[in-house]
Amino acid sequence: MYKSIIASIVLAFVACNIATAQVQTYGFNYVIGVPTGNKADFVSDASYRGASFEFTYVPDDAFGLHFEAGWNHFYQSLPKATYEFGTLAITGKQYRYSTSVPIIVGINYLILPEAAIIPYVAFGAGLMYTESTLEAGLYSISREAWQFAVKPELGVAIQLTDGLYGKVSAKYYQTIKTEDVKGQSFLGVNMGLAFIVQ
Amino acid sequence: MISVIIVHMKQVSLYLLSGILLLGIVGCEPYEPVYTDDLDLVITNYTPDFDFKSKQTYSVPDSVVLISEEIFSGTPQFANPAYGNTIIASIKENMSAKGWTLVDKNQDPDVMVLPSVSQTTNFFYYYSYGYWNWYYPGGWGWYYPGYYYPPTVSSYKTGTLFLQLVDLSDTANVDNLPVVWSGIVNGLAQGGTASVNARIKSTINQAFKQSPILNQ
Repeated sequence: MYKSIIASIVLAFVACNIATAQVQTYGFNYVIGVPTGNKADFVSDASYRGASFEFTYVPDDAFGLHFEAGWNHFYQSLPKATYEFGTLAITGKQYRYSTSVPIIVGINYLILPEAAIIPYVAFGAGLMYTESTLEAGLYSISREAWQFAVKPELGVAIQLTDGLYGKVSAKYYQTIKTEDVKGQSFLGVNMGLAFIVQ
Repeated sequence: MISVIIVHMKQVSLYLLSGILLLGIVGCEPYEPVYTDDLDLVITNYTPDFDFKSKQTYSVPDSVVLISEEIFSGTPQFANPAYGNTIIASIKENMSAKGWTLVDKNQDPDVMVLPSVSQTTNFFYYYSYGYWNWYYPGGWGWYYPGYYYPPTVSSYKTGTLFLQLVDLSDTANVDNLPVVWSGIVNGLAQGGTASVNARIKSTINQAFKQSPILNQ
């Protein structure tokens, strides 16, 4: 199911790209990640270590297709405390790490393509790799998963010079749970530059 | 609509620069833990259906057994008394504070507390009872009633202190002695004698503190 959705999005993307290349942009973003849901239960601190790369193809004035690959690293240390699990009690400091790598394709819609500040919405789907590690004392427990992910996005692009845009956007990633790992979600606040090439 | 231009070298440089700056920003990883005792871990577990309050007396050996990776035979090695004495004293202090009465092993104690240490890379809670024949001969094995198990410890360059509280009420009729409470202290086995002893003391205190089940 997931694979066929992703495959059709990728095919549509490739097909349009081959047809009539109009405008293509490449962009880099700095990403602040704010964990939500299950991810926030594991690491509640925001991540200030994140980046994303975007490629956008705009065949007409309003609609476009995009590909993005991102990376965010979440970290939190918990103070020395006693954690009880039934009859088991463990005292120690905890260090929690979680890395998210979304790989998404999707569509964009420029709400006001001619405006000085161009608002846009986007929706994408793809995969997200998550690796979560809990360290306590000298022990380390790690779990990793590739999960199906969806991503709605809301943002604005501002032209800085010919061919160069500044972008600010909010992306919400939500994954579907797999056997061992719960669904993960976080809000990515993206700030970056987009370069236009033909 | 967005104007279309050919990308210039200046922009390529800017593009690369923004990428490099971005990597610089996101590349910093916090380095923790900072102190050795940040790595100390105290784990305790017990069998829930054992009536600890019905027992009053305990015995404890005057040496701490050193468990090695080799298959055990004969007399065990003992931990350096510089640390062993601190371990024994801390156990007595805490057991007494919980209301238990220390007796000699020949005075029919209700339970005994057996401390062992290991600096091996792999340490298992089902090590041979033969290590204790010097103190309490009988050739028993172990079991952990109530389906509880202390966790298996497997780490590198660490010191592990293992405390077993063993029920002696039925020694005549059983092959395996029930370990009704166990405590594991694990941490980096490094530092001067004074600092290691301070950590031993505070972690043993913690093991008893997080075990109100032992209160008399």
